[in-house]
Amino acid sequence: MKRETIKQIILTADEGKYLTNGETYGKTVVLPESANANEWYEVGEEEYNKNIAKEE
Amino acid sequence: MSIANEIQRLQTAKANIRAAIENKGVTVGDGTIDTYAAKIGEISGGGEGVDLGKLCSNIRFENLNVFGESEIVVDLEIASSLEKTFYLNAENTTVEHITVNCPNKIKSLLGFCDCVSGVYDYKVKHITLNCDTADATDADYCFDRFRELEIIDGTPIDFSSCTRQIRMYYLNALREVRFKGTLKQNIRLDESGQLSDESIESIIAALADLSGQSSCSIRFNSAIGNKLTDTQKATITAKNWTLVY
Repeated sequence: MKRETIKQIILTADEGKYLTNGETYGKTVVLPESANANEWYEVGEEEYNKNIAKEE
Repeated sequence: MSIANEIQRLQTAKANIRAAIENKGVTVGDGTIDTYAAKIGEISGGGEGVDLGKLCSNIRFENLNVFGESEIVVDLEIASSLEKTFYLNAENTTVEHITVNCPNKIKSLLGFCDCVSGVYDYKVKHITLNCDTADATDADYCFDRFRELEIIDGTPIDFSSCTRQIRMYYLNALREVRFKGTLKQNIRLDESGQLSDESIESIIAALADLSGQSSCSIRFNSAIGNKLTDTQKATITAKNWTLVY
């Protein structure tokens, strides 16, 4: 029998918001338990779109 | 030497010259040997093109329309880098399949198939890369802005030696890609929402186990993220990777 316990931190952005750590943007972030969830914060569509435009 | 032997020798030489002229695409017909000089003058002097693959260690193609074919094969015999090999600054209306053969281990895949800012490719559907990329230290934008690209095949791509992030943007149609090795840098596949299950498994398997080290992140398109199984998500985070979608 094999038993594994995987702990994750799952962050989900509110409606109309995105999560970012300043570099990567997404609606959902799944972190290993040991990661620092405080690195991630919510931003609005405007900043998200500004980021996309910058990379074009 | 007797006169008879001399005549035989000259007749043999005439026949050989006639055959050589006709091998070059010029018809001799019933012409006598007196006409052979003029026939030699008709032979095209085009010769063979220069084999850039044998000369250049780093080639860049900026306009695919110069090839005039829907499928191109590029043999880069002495290349040590594939940096910006295809760095397009013009709309491609011709090429749909690119094959690159490179027998050497290459040091860079930076911008291998990419376009300048503001330009996208909407024609190439298939790229075959036959090359060992295990020693490439930079693969950022290795495939970028090829919006109809569906298949990347050949040798599975190995990002093991990369020292900075890998951004594979605007690959909206990408279905098939295979990775191998142990990736230890952030990687982004933001627009690739059509990856096959096999491609996804290949990518996850290539993520290095970063337990006890700094975490890295993998950014999938939301369509992919939403279809990952709990097991796949667990595999990713168990290796100390952050999954973003």
